[in-house]
Amino acid sequence: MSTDPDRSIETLIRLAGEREMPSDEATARARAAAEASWRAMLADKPPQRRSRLPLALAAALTLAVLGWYAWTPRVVVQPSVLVARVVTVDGAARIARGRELQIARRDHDLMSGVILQTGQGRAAATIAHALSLRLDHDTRLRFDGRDHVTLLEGSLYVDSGGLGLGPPLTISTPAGDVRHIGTQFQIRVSGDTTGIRVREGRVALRRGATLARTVAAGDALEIRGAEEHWRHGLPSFGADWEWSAALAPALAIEDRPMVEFLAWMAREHGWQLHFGDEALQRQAQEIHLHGSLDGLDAAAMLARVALVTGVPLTLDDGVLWVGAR
Amino acid sequence: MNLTDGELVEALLRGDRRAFEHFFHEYYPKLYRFAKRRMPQDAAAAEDIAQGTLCRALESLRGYRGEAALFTWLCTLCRREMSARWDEARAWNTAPRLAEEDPSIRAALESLLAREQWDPLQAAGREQVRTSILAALDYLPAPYGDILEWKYLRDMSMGEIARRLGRSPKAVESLLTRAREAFRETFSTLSGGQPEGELP
Repeated sequence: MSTDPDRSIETLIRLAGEREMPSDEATARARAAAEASWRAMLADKPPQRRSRLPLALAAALTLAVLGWYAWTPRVVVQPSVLVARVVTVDGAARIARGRELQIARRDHDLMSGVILQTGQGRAAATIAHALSLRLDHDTRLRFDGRDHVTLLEGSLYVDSGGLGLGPPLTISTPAGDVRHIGTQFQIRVSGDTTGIRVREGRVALRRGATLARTVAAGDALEIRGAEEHWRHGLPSFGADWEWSAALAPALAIEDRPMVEFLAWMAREHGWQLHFGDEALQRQAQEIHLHGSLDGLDAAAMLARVALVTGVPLTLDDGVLWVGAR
Repeated sequence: MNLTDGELVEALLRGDRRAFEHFFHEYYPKLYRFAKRRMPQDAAAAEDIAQGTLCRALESLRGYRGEAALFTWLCTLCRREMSARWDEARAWNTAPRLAEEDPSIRAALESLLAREQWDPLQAAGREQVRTSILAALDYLPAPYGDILEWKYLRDMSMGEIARRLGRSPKAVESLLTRAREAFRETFSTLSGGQPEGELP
C-alpha cells in the first residue's frame, strides 16, 4: 500500500473514473432554459427605494388616508394584474375586455380578466417568460390570474419548458381543471367536448376536489359529459402538432452552437434527434451559427443550416438525423 | 474566469454573458450529478431537475446572500426541486441517504477543516468510495476538480493544463497542490474519514 498521500489521491481518482456528464441534447436545452431565466431575472428590476418624504408630511398623509378609509364606504375591486404577454400574432387576433375590443399586437400585456381570441388568425403568449401558450384558429382564452386561464373554445397548446418547469398553471375547461405536470400538450374545447393530448410529460385533470385522470405522453383523452374516449401510443409529431410549432418564439441563432438549434427544432416539432456518430455530435457543439432564420419554415431552416454547416440533416418519420443514417 | 462566488453572482446580476457561460458550464454538470446520485436509474429526470434548479437559481439570484457557498445554495434548491417533483413518486422517498445529506457533513464541507495524517486508501467499500470521490470532485472550488481530472485521468501535462486555463505552468503547479489538499480534506469529510480498511 502506498503511503504517499499524493499518489493515493491519484489512485483514488483513477479508480473513480471520469465524472458523468449530462447528454448534449439536455445540456443544450438546459442552457437555453437557463439563459431565458437569467434574462427574465435581469429584465425584472430590483425593488426601488422609496423617496423619503419629510416625516411630518408623511404622518399627515397617513392620518388623512386613514381618516378617508375609516369614513368612506368601501367597494372591493380586484386589482387587475399582469398575467401574460403576447409574443406572436399570425394573422389577426383580438383582445376583449368587457365590451372593449382591440387588435392584439406583439408585446401587448394581457391583464387578468381579458380574453385573447384568434378568429382566422393564431397567436402565442408567454407567462413569466417561461410558459408558452399558443392559440390555434377560432380560439378564445380568458386570462383569469397569474396561474389560471380558462379555455372557452378552440385549441390551446402549452409548453412549460421541461418536466416540472414553468410556473404553475391551471386551465379550466368544460371537463374540469387541467394542471400541467409537464410539459407539452394541447387542449381542444368544442361545445361540450374537451380533448386533451399530451406530447411530453403528463397533465392532471381535476373535476371538483378529486383527481379524475392523468394523461401521459402519447395519450389522448376526449370527454363529453360522462363519456370518455382514450387513445394511446400516438406520435409526438405530425400535422396535429405542426400549427403550434409555427407559433414558437423565434430562436436567435447568432453565435449559438448548432446543437442548440437542433435540440430546439426537435423539441418544437416532437422529433427525436440522432447523430450519425460521436464526431458529428462534437462537431455540432463546436459549430456556431450566424445570421437569422426568421420567416423560414422548418424544412427551410434545416436546409439552410445543413447548407452553411456542411452537416447533412435529414428528417425521416419523426427522427432528425444529423449526418449519415 | 477566476471569480469568488460573490463576484460571480454580482457579474450575473450585471448581465455579464461570460459570467453566465461560466456559471452554466460550471454548475449544470455538477447539479446533474448531484441529482443523478439520488436517482441513479433516471438520467433524464436528473437532467430535468438540474435544468430546473439552474432556472430557479437564476430567477432568484437576487436572494443569494453569500451566507453559504454558491454550490451549497444550489444543492439546497436542487433538493427542493427533487422534493417538489417527486412527491408522487416513491423513488425519492426510497432513495438511499448519502453522506452529503447529513447536515453535519454538509457543514463540514463548508468549513473544510484540515485533517492530518489521514490516508485516503483506508476508506472502505469500493462503491461508496467511488461515490464519495466523484462527489468530492464536484464540491471542490473551481477549477480544482477539473485540474485533478485532467492531470490524473487524461494524463495532461502541466503545460497543456496551463494553456487550457490561460495560466503559467508555475501557477498551475501551485493550483494542483492546493487542489490535492482540498480534495483530501473534502473526500475525508465525505467518506467519514474511516481509519481502517483499504480500497479493494
